[in-house]
Parts: sequence; C-alpha cells; structure tokens
Amino acid sequence: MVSTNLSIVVSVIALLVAAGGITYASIRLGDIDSVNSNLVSKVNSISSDVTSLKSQIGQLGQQQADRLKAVEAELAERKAREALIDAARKEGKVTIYTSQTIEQMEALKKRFEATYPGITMEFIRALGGPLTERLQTEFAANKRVGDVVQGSQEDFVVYKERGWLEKYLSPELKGIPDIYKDPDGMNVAARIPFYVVGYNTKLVTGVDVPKTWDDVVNPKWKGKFSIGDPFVHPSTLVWFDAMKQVLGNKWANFVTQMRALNPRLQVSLTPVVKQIVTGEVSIGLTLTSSMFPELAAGNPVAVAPVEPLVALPNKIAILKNSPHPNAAKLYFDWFLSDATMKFLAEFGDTVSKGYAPDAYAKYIPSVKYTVRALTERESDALKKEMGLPWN
Amino acid sequence: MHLDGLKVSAIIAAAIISFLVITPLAWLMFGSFWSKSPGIAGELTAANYVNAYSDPLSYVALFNSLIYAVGATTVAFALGVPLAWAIVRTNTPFRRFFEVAVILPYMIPGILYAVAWVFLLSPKTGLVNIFLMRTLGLGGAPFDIFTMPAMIWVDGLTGVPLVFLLLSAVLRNQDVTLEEAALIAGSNKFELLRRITLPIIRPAILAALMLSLTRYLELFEVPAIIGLPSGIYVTTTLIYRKIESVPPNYGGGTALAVTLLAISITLVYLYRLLTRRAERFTTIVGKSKKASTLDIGRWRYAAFAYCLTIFIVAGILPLLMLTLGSVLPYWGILSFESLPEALSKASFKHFDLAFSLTIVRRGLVNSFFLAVVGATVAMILVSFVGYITTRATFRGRGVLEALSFTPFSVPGLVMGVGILWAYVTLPIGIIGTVWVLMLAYITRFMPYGLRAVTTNIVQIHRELEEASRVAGASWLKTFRHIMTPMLRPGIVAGWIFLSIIFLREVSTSILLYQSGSEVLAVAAYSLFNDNKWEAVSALGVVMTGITLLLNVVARKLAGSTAVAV
Repeated sequence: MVSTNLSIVVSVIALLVAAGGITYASIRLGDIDSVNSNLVSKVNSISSDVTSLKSQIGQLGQQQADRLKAVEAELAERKAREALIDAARKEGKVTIYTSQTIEQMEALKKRFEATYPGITMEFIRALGGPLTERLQTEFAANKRVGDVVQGSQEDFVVYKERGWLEKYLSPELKGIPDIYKDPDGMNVAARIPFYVVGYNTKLVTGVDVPKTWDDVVNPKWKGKFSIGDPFVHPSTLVWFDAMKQVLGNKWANFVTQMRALNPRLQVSLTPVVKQIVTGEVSIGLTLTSSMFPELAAGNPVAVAPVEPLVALPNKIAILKNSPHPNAAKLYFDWFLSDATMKFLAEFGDTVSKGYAPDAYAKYIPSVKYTVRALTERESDALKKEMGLPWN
Repeated sequence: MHLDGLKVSAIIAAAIISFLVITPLAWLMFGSFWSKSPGIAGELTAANYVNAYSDPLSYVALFNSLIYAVGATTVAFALGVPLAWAIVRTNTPFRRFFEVAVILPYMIPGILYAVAWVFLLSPKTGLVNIFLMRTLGLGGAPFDIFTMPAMIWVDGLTGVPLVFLLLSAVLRNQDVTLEEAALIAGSNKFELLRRITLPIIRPAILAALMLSLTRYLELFEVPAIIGLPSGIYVTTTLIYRKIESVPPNYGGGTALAVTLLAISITLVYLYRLLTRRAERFTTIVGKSKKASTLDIGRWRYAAFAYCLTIFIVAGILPLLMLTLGSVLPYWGILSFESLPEALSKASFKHFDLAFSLTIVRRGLVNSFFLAVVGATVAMILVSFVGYITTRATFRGRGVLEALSFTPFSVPGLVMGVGILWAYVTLPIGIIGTVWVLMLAYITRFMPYGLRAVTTNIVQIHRELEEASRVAGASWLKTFRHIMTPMLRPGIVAGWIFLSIIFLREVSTSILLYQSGSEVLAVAAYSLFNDNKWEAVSALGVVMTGITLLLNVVARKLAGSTAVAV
C-alpha cells in the first residue's frame, strides 16, 4: 500500500518536476526567442541604419548632382539667353502691334532700347478691325511686319482661331496665375485693367457719389451718364455679359434702367473719361487704364466706390513665323519681367503679376469677375436681349 | 503731228488713272462678293449685300447721309458763293487778306474742328450757349450740338473754303467784256450778277456742287464726333462700325459703300450731261480782257462785314478753342469766371509732350513731304487728265473722268483696304512706305485737282491752242506754253487744296502706315484716341500753321499776277 502511495507521490512529483521542467524549459526557450528576436531587430535596425546611411550618402550625392545639374541648367539658360540676345541683336529690330497708348509705348521703347542696345523697338498703334485686317493681309500675302501683338482678349480669340499665334513658354510666365494663361501657351494676359464707375469731382459730391450699381442707374443721371456703345464696342458688350454674374436676376432691370438714362454712347470706353473730365457728363463707365492719366494729371475725376468689379484682360502674344522671332521672344520676356510689370503699374496698369498703382490698390480685392470672350452667336443673342442698338 | 502727242499723252494718262483706280476697286468689288476677307479661303456670295440691305438701319443711315450731304452743301454754298464773288470780283476792303483767311476752317484738322464746335455749342458746357444764356437771360441753351442741324452747320462751314477755292479761280478768269456789254446796255449790278456772272460760272458751280455732295457723303469726322454719341448714324459711320468690329466685316462695309459709289457716279453723269456743250462756257478767248474789280460802292462795307463774320465764326472761334485747349492744363469746363484762373496756369507742356514723341517727329517730316511732293505730282497728272477729258475726242474720255472720280466717293477706310490689298499683292515694294501713301492720296483726291483745272480749261477757248498749232508748235509745246500759264490759277488752287487735304488725311492712312511712314494726321488721331486732346490741340495748332505757311509760299511762287486763290 505504502509503495503504491509512494509510487503515486513519486509519480506526482515526477510529473510536477516534469511539468516544471517543461515549463522552465519552455520559459527559457521563450527567453532565447526574445533574445533572438531582439538580436534580429537589432541587426535589422543596424542594417536599416546602414541603408539609411547609405541612402543619405546617396542623397548627398544626388543633391550634389542636382546642384550640379541646376548650375548646368542655369548656365544653359544663361547661354540660351545670351544666344537669344545675340540672335535678337542680329535681327536688330522688333515690331509691336499694340493697343496701348502712344505715351506708354514711347516710354517702353526707351526702356527696352536702353536694356538691349542695338535692338530697335518699333510699334504701330492699331486697334480692332483695322489691326485684324492688317494681320490678315500680312499673312495672306506673306509680307510680314509685326512680331508681337498686344490687345484686348476678345481679339485674341480671332487671332488664335486663324492660326496667327506662336506657342511660346516664356520663363517669365511663372508668377502669373493660370487663369491668365492660354492653355496652349499661345498668349498670356499681362495687363489686367478693370471696369470702374468714374465721376466728375466738381459736379458730383458727397452723398451723390454712387456707391452701388443701383445708384449708377438712378434716374437722376438721365442725360448725364456715358458708356461705350455696347452695339459697337466689344469690350463694353462683354462687360454687360459679366454683369449678369454680378447682378443675377436684377440684371435685366439694370439694363432697362441704364437705357432709360439715355446714355451718351461712345465709340469706346476711353472717351468716356474725357466726357467726365470736360463735364459733358457727370458719371460714366470706363477702364482703370483709361482713367489713370487723368487722375495722374490731377484732373477732376475719381473712381466711385461701386463694387464688385469686373476685369478685362489685355493679352500679349508672339505672331507665328514672325520676321524677328528671337527679338520677339526677347521682348516678350522683357515685357513680362518684374521690372517692366512694375513700371507699367507706375503708368496706371494693374498687371497679372500682382502689381497695381496706388490709386487702384484698394479696389483689387473687389475685382471678383473677369469678362469672357463671346462667340459671334452669343454676342448677337446678348445684343438682342439688351434691345440694341439703343439709339 | 500734235494729235500724236495728244494721243500718246492720253494713253499714258488713261493707263495711269486706270491702274491707280481699278486695282484697288477691283479688290473691293471682289471683297464685297467674298464670304471672308480676301486672302482667306471662302466662296463667292451675295450674302454681304443681302445682310447689309436687309438691315433697316442701313436705310435710316442712307437717308441721314442724303439729308446731311444736301444740308451741308446748302450751307457751304449759301455762305461760300457770295464770299467768293465778294473777295474775287469786288472792291471789298482787305480782300487779299480774306483770300487766305477764309480757308482757315479747312486747315484745322477735322476731328479737332468738330471737338472745338462741341465746346462752343454743347448744351452743358458750350461757351456760345453759356454766353447767350447769360446775356439774353435765357432759361435753356439755345443750341444743341448733338443734333442733325448742328452737324450740318459745322460741316457746312468746313465746305465753305472748298466752294471758295473752286469758284474763285473761275471768277478770276472770267471775261469781263460780257459784263461791260451788259453795263453799257444799262443793267444794274445785281442784274449783272444774276444774268451774266452766275450763268458763266455755272459749270464751276455745278462741279463744286457735285464735289461737295460727294464729299459729304464720304466724310467721317463730324458724323463720328458729333453724330455717334447722339445716335445719328450716316452711311460712313455705319460702315465704320462694320469695319471696326473684330473680325472686321469688310464685305458688309463695302456693300454699303457701293450705294455711295452709285450716287456719286450718277452725280458725275449728271454733271457731264449739264456741261456737255462745253463751248457755251468758254470765257477766255484770245482777245479777252482779264477780270477787273467791280466797284460796288457802299455795299463793299456790307461785303466786308460779311467776310469778317464768316472768318470769325468759321475760322477764328474754333481756332481759338483749339489754341486754348493746347495751352490750358486740360480741356474742361470753361466758364467765363474760371477762365482767368485757368489761363494763369497756361503752359507749353502739351507742345513739349507732343513733340517729344517719335511718331510725331517722323510724322512732321513725312506729312510735309507728302503735302509738297504729293500735291505737285498729283497736279501734273490731273492737268494732263483734265486737258484730255475736256479737249480730246476719243471714245471713253467720259469713262476716264468717271473713273478718276470713283475713289473719291468710296469712304476712306474702305478705300484704304482696297489699296492695302492691291499693293500688298503687287510685286512692287512700296507697301509700308510713304510712296504707297502718296499713291493712295493721289488716287483718292484726284477729283479736287481735276475739278480745279477742268473748270479752268473749259473756260479757255480753243482758238488759242489752234493759233499755237497753226504756228507749228507741237501739242506738248502748246500745252506747256499756252495752256499751263492759262491754267495757272486752277493749278495753284488745286495744289493748295491737295496739299491741305494730304496734310489732314486720316482714314486711309490708318491702314497703310508703318513704323517709319507715320504721318501727322494719324499721330493726331491716335493721340485723340488716347484722350490726349491737349497734345492733339498743340499738334493741330502746328498743323494749321504749316498749312498756312504752304499756302502763302505757294501764292508767292505762283507769282502775284497769276495768284488764283
């Protein structure tokens, strides 16, 4: 009995011992495992360190290489630029078709010729239909004169359609918002004047100064309001189109009220300023670029705080297969350069690189809309809707 | 022998005229039947005409054009005919001075002449209105510049010098034996005027009428400056509207211009019909006496007052406005109270600005060249053509005359397109130079020179040439020694006129000039579009001065005895 009991006890002990051993062994083995895994992870981390060191070393090399490349690229660019200037100088001349004022263009000519001695800048002030006709004849007869063309956005639709524009991705395009760039790289808006209501400061004072678009079409301006003739002047018509967005469902009423003012209709928005300054009318719709010279001269005209405002992009492009292609590129780059853009701002232009004359700076945030180019059919429909012609 | 010379000259002159006129016109006609601008692929179509003539505005504009042309011609003649007679034929005091002075309105650039009148007659700011309202105590402005009658008035005044120049050459060459006969027969002086003088100068009057009507149909400046803002369209401003749009509708513009062309060709035809029996108007015969001065007694003071009034109203007032505009700080509200203050700020800074511009400096040289050389070349050409169309008896001389007249009735902008197309396609490298401008000016304004010489030639009896021929002189020699001296008044009148026009031409030049061939009038027009009215006024004052100078020099060179105008 005792022996049976003992054997049971021994067995139990043996079992216990075995269990303990097993447990111990298993615990030990686990330790080894963890040590092992530690070791592995350490090795891994070392190897990753090595990799990262390696990659860091690689990156350093890459950076070095990149830097080298950048230097090379810059050198190449500088070389290309030198080559461009050289080639332009060989061409000796660049001819610009432009809608900018003679005074502005003469000032630009002086600056350009001072920057690039040996290259003469000629300009021909031409607008609208006659300019299109000149270009048409030049291209048809293959007797080319113009290298660069600058003018209203609407006209560029026709130019592009007729294949007169050259693609050119100028290095100076950076810094200009994409909305001002042609998706095909064929032109870019540089000067962005906007439409403003101007008033004669001697005839209109205090509470009479219009503050809202409703004030502008107030019957008290009957016979005293001037605007470009939307039937004739495309840039005035596109403003009415943009005003649809500004005024929403009040637009139709706005147009009716304006027509009831019996406005003095001008061939463009520029003479409107003169009408205001001379006192022929009291208020009128014009462009910032047209108004600036009168403001600068201290003549009795001011911008009425009517908002929001609409912008009218003015574009520049190189003409296809122009007679002086290198000088054209050089001028294009120079025109869009910060220095020239700042200079234009001093001349009263708001530009797509963000500069603006002090007189207009505070209105920039209110410029929330941009005119769109209308197709012929859209123009006709709009004219019908507005009941044009008005007189 | 002489006939050969005449024939050869006739053929050469006809060839030149035909070339000058037909090339651009052919392009224009083609353009009016082409669906796109010439040069772009398109097709033959009548759509331009259908569109142009289905627009009711076309008819309104045409009707306005006719009223305008007839109205302004009436004003120009009512004022101009008595003026010419008083200055050329009577002993009105200071008539030598008035001879030059009355041309003044024509020397002022067209755009500025219109602007100056806006400043005189505007209901709000017009000085004349302000003055009259003040002195007469009126409640409202008596005049409104933005109306058809005012437009007619202003442009009628620009026509007075035309009437004067065309008629004075004829009046001066008039044979006085008829008048003397009438006086001996007991006519009084008014009867003399009515029954002798007027019938004798009838061809010249008819020619001037025809020219004047056509000119007003084609004229652009006053209808643009005064008419467009007031909504009064005439055919030329309607054409302008079509051409100014992008893409330009030249086909439609040309289709409209064809109406004006048809009207003026009818006028030429009528004129030829009325002056067919040219001999009837011959007044210079071998034994004739040169016109003498008629003593009109105390009426001469009335005549003097009349000349002075026209000189002041048509010339001095607008020129004064122009001069003020060029020295005052800016064109603006001028009241009689603010004038002294504004005058104290007067300066020459606008002159400085204007003449600092490259385009103005080049324009000065080019315009001067075109006025002097261009007018001379033109007068040499038209003297031959004029002689041939009145003297030679070959078939088609009527066609030649009508041809020379055609470009005149095509609005300048439209004609500029035709000339551009014509010379850009021809293999002669004159496009973009002053030479193409000269050709364009000669082509367009030949009729002025032609009228001046032909009315003169018609008066000269053949017997003088016949005598020369009998004496054995060749035709050219006869032309040189007999005709040219007799024609001198007409040639000088034509030259002066053409040089003035060449100096002020804008609408054709706009399409044809390039950098290097800028002209003053285009510079003025561009500056005007830039709102630089002050600088334009400065330019206008200088241009008026140049014209005046040319005029005086031409008279001096022509010799005092032969001075025509």
